[in-house]
Amino acid sequence: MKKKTYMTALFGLLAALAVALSYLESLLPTAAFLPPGAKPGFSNLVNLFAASFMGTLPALGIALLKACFAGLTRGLTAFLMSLCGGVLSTLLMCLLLRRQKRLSFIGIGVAGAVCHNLGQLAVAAVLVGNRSVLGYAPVLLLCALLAGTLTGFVFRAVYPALRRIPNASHFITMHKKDKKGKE
Amino acid sequence: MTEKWFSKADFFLILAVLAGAVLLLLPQWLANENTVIAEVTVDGVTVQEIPLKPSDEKQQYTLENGVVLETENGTIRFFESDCPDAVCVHTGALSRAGEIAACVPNKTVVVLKSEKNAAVDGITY
Repeated sequence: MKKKTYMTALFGLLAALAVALSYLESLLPTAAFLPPGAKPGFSNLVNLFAASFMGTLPALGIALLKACFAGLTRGLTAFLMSLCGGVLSTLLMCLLLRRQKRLSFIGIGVAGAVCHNLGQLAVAAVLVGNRSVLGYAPVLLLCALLAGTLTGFVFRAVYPALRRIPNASHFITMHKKDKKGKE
Repeated sequence: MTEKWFSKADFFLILAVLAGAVLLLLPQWLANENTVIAEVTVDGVTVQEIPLKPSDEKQQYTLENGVVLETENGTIRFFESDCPDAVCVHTGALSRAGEIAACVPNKTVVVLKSEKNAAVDGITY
C-alpha cells in the first residue's frame, strides 16, 4: 500500500532528524546560565510532530531510536535516561493531543518536557542509588518550562505548513474528527 | 483552521510548574549559611564526609572509582571523571547546603548538608 510506504519513509526521515538534532544539541557549549545536563530538547519537536501526524507508535519508535543513538554514543546510562524520558514524554504528549482540547501546543510542549526531565531524574536516582539526586528536580522543572515553551511555540509557528504535508494523518482531536486506527 | 497560540490552560500549567519548582527550592533558600559538610556517596553508600570551611586550602580526593573531587575555600567540585558527557564536572563548585552534583555513570553523588543537620543526626544515633 502506497500510504504505508510513505509512512515508513517519513518515519525514517523523522528518526534521522531526531538523532541529528540531539547530536547538534550536544555540540552546543554549556551555557553559563543553564544548569549542567539541561538541554533545549530540539528533538522533542520531532516527537511532537510524530505524535501529532503519525500516531503513538511511530512517535514511541522515534523515542526508542533516539535512545539507542544516545546509548551508542554515550553509553548505557545515557540510553536508559533517554529512553525513560523520551517514552514518558511521548506518551503524555500523545495522550494530551488526543484526549483534551484545552492545552495548546505550548502547554503540551511544557507537559512533555516536564515529564521528560522527571523521567530522566527518576532513572538517575535509581542508577545512582541515592534519592538526594531528586533535589535537582526544581532546577529541571524550570528548564523544562523554558524548553517546553520553546518547543510548543516553534511547533505552533510551523504548524500551518506542516498540515499541508500530504498523506500524514491528523491525530489531533482539537480540530479534526478522530480518525480511528493506524494504517 | 485557526489554532490558539496560548490558552488559559497553558497559563495555569506553567503557573503550577513554577509554583512546584519554587516550593521545592524554598528549603534550599532558607538554609542557613553555616559550615557545610559534603557527603559523598557511591552507589548509595556514603564513602566520605568532607567538612567544607572557607579557609580551606586546595585539596583533592580520589575515590575508588577514579572520580577526583577537589575542595577549596569552602567549595567542592568534581575535578575529574571518566564519564562520557562529564555533566558532573560541568556542574562546577558547590558551596551551599542542599546543592547537589551527581555523576550518574559512576554512581557518585555529592550532597551538601548544613552542619546543624548533621549534628542532629549525630545525636539521634
